[in-house]
Amino acid sequence: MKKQQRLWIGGLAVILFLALWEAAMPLGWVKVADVSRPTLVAKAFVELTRTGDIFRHLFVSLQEFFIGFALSVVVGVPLGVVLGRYRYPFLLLDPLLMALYSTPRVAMMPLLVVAFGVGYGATVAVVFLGAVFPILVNTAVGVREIDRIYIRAVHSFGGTERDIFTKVLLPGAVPPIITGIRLGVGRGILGMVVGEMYAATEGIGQQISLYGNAFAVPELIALILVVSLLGFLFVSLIRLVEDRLRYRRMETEA
Amino acid sequence: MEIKTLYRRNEAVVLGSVGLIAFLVVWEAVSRLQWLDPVLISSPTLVGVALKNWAASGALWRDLGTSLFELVIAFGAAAVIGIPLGVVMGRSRPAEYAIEPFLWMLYASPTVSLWPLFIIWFGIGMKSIVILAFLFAVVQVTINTFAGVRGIDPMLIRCARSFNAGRMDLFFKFTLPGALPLIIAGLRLAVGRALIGVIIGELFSSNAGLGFHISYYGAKLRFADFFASLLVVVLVGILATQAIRIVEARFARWKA
Amino acid sequence: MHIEFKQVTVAFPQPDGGSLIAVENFDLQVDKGEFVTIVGPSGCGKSTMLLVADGLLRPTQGQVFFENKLVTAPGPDRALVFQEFALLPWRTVEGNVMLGLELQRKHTPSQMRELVEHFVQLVGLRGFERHFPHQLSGGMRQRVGLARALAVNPAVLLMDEPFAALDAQTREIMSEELLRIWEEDKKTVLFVTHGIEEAVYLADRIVVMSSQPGQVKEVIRVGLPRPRSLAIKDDPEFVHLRRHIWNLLMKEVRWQVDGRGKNP
Repeated sequence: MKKQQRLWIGGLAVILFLALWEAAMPLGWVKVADVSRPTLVAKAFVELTRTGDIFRHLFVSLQEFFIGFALSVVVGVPLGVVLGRYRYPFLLLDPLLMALYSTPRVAMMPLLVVAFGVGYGATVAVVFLGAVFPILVNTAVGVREIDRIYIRAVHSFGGTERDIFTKVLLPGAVPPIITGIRLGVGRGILGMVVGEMYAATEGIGQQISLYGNAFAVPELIALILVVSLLGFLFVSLIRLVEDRLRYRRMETEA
Repeated sequence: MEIKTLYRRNEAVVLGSVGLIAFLVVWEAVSRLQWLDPVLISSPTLVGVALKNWAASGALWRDLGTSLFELVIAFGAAAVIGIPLGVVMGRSRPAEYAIEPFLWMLYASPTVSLWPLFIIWFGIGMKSIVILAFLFAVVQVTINTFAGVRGIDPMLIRCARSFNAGRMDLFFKFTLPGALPLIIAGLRLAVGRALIGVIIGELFSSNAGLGFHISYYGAKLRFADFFASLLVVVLVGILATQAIRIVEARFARWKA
Repeated sequence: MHIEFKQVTVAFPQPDGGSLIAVENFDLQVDKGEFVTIVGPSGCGKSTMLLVADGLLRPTQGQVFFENKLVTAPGPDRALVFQEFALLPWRTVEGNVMLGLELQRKHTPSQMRELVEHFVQLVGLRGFERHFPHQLSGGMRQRVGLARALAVNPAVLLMDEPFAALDAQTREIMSEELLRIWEEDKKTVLFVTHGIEEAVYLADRIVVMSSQPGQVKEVIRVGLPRPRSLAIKDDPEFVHLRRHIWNLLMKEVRWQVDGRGKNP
């Protein structure tokens, strides 16, 4: 019952918003050029897909995203496990990681462009920087929160440090790792757009910047919607994995 | 013995400082030994000098003031609008269902890509920057406030009802205090996001503020000054977050 | 002599610089095949003794010997059963019972599967092999813990308040089950509990400990015949033993409840 209500009322609100938006120009509230209308946006969307250009840019962007994201997993998970397991490395690195996390990635763009090259290189770097932190932090916290009793159990049966990693820490941390990956995807996509907006010759972000600077509002909004949809898709997929995992594994209460 | 106990109590700070200092030493060494291009990576000493010059010329305080001003307005607006919004969402399910899609859109879309639109609508200048930062922050505040209000232990509500608490009392004596920890946590996260919004806005189109300083020197490849401004931004972020942490500690002491 | 504790003292350093003496001058000799229970009030260090016997904790002073060899680390000859079960939540019953065998690296996969099947049946969990811990009751989970420990064929079973997390009725049934399983093999068992009835019911000998710091107060031999059913709890000898231990411990507990320190 509640779920239906949620869909109904939410849907109604969105429709109302779209209707008001559509009517805003004729009603004289704002100028078309400024705000555009849902119909124009839809037209722009159709036009973009028709010419096929958008798919080329999407392809480039997704490439950058997946490379950067894969890197962030490859770096973030093992590092997170180590930081979660051993206190000293964590305490030593914590301020540095915090400082890196607090720096807006956009601000680092000049440096990243010079270091890794315009377009591809810098964008991959921004995606990496965006996604790696949630993955790292969630992995570390997940490992740290694993009940010590499991480690003691493995110890008591003669397990080595390696056994603890393979039989307790990694399997035990899988749910938080997946959560970290989900959070990282959002930030990664944001990074992809921002990176391309700043300095790229191809890609969705670059297109956004292009249309934005040309004040082509319908196209701009259409592109923004595409990016949001993409993010929504990825996050939903990962949520599915998360839910299935949680069902299978439900942690036992003490 | 004394030193050992002192260490044990402040271990995090000690080790954190050690890590930080080690990093600075390595950075300086790598730069001096030219293992990486010193023009690109600069060095702690060069950054320190740049910072000193920036401060001495007075420009630092001006830029800092501009950014802080924008930050305070954006953050204040986010709190003033976000908290009541979250409360309304928390108390009324229809409101929650109606507002949720828009909140989600704001959260999930790259807000920064709306920047060109902001220029069209609000012009280049402080207005757009503040609004961008506001949007960055308000989502966080609203979501956290909503969670706080919604997450009130139903047992407590039952208790309040059994004491015949009226709706006003119920809200101000039970719901709001109970939601406070999450609300303040939301504010803590929001201030960081607002700062990022301010910096991004200034980066893209401004002639004042920390973000501008970053883009200006970045474009000129003067990385010492560039890092100096990054440093200031990070420090502002840490200070702002810590300030709210202190408030959090006072008002959320009872939460496990 | 299977296990020997020689003047074992365990002290834990405190954050304020001092140290807390958990156990002091613990002496005990356990024979092969003996079922020894350790009973005492909370905080008397009895669980600490088990950890020392397993090699998970180093004594601050004194030594523990197993078959006349110094104990310094966990080994295949001793297996621990935990109060909180300590079952890996992401493994099935089978997977959990297999854990100890996996870590031993002595058997082939098919050998391990056979052993797992045998012990799952022994503890009465046939049919539940594919279940996850969260689908089992407390008593069933502890049976898994027991099966896991037995599967590695240890010479000594170390049990740390294994039934403390169970409700009273399940507890009684489990202790009877435990004796049934133990009768098959008659391993040496060190069983820690703060239930006096449980201690008397299960044991050949009972070590009564005092607390703050933990010390051996008395060692009592239990002459009751085996095998024992729960009905033996009405036996006059049983009642006598129970009363005796209760009297010994009552003073300890009273001191704790009143909040006073140790008597000189």
